[in-house]
Amino acid sequence: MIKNAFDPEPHLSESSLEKGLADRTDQLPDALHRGIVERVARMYQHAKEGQRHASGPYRIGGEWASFYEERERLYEPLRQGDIDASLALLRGFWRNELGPLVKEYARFEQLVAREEPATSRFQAGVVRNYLIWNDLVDASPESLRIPDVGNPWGYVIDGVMVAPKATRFHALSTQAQRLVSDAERPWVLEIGAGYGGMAYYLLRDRADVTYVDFDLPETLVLAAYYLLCCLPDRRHFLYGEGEIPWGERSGLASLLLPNFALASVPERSAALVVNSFSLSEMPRGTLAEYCDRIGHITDVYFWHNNVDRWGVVNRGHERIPASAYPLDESLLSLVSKHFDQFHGHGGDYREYLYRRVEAHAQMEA
Amino acid sequence: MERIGLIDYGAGNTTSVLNALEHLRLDVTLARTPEDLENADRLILPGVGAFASAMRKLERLALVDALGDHVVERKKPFLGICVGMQLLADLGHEFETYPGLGYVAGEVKRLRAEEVGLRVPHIGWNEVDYDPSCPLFEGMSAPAFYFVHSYVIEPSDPTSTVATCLHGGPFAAAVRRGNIFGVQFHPEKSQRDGLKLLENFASFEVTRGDEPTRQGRPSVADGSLVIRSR
Repeated sequence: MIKNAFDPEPHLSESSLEKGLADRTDQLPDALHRGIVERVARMYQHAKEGQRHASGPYRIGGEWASFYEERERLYEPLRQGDIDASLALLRGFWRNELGPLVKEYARFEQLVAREEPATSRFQAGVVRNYLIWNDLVDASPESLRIPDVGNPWGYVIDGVMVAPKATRFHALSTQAQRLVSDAERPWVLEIGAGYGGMAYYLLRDRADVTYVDFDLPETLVLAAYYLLCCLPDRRHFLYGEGEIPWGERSGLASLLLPNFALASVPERSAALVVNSFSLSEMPRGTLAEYCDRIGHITDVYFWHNNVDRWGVVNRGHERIPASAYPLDESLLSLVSKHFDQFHGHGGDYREYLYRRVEAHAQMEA
Repeated sequence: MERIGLIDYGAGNTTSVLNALEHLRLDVTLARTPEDLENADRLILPGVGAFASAMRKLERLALVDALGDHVVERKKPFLGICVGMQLLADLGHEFETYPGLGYVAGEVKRLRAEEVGLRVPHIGWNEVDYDPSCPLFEGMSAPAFYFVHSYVIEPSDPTSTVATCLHGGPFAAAVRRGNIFGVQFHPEKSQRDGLKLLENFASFEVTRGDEPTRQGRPSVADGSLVIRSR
């Protein structure tokens, strides 16, 4: 009988789950921690203020509108500047009410209660993704390790706690590093980074990259908190801390910006622009604006992974298939299209890689 | 029912293809000699490994000229799979430059995907853009196939390409010259769409206008082949 290299069964155990869910409260010094939370709270306040004045395409819409409407109240301590309450909230974001933004296959409380089928789905999914990651990326399991920030959880495989989506984030970070390997002090722009999982690996493994995240304020809070806590010795710019330093090409690890700041990104400033999953979830007008901006700010590559099927409806929004995006083909040329490597050929998601037309012509020459 | 000759020359994933054809309840015979080709109405040339090594195996079994007779002269429907497709070209450049069967004008070169951070070999499932008038793809909608390869055929006549795929840029996923077809992917491993493609090949009928133009194999003697050092 042929052995299936991606069969999760041999790796499944209760103890791996038990260890994966063990407490991982951070050990950050209190003063440092409070300082970070104060900056994040100020960023949130500025971003919410800016959001009120954002132009049409940058207003919250699509399937995210109702999601954030329900969740905005959770961020009240940040809006109020209540640092103690904000710190308590962010310190446990993997496990508390902010957790839905980081989960994969199951929520933390479902796993603690060993709810089925969520628990089995989680274990099989995380292990299967790990086996696919192992096939895709030439790296040791240690490379998946993440700092104890936000009290993370996951599943222990080969001695490492593998957090939800960690394998996907690490694989994407690896590809991003390949794509910018020839660029000097490259800027990598991500539209919708979630809690910053890919960004952490990228900044950890490639010191000269400047990473820029654009997201809705509520999610941006998590990415800012996470990256500042994970990489406290690096320099980060948070929205509202003065003029956005677009011209700075050295020493800056990250810029954490609300989505509407995308409108002010200079032409061809990013060696790589990345998006996972969210472009299709936007309203049509927003998508058109983002595609236009992507065409202008991409200097070499635009990579994205999105749904490519008509008729997928979530929260009243019909997702726009990736093959129907209004990208300007005179600026960006499609060079690769694949099934999502973790979903396989049965899934609805596709990875697309575009190259700037001038860059393409130069490389061909 | 017409009989398919599955060419078993020691360089092919013959068993997988045989299993797929038998699953379709097609009449299949393994063809290892020129005489075996006589017993087949249509031919499939599978292939894994390197171009030159596969060609040498065909040569050792005296199958090169015999195939020319059956495929080019007698116009039996022919399908090359993976390296079997690459052998249709004039030249291959994997490890060394070596002449191919020369049924499809062009050369076989390494994929240029590493420069965009993609790995070579290209392994996995991909959708292809295809010419809907090509009989191989009849009855399909957004087909996906399984690929495992580092080299691709680059036809010099773009009309030979009947399907393309993207991996660091577009490449020929399928070629056709009349009764001669080649697919870079593995239909025998491509589940529903792959089986459908094999079924389509088994039922394809050669009609007037399908005749390919025979191309001579390049050679060192006539100066059309330059052997490079490795």
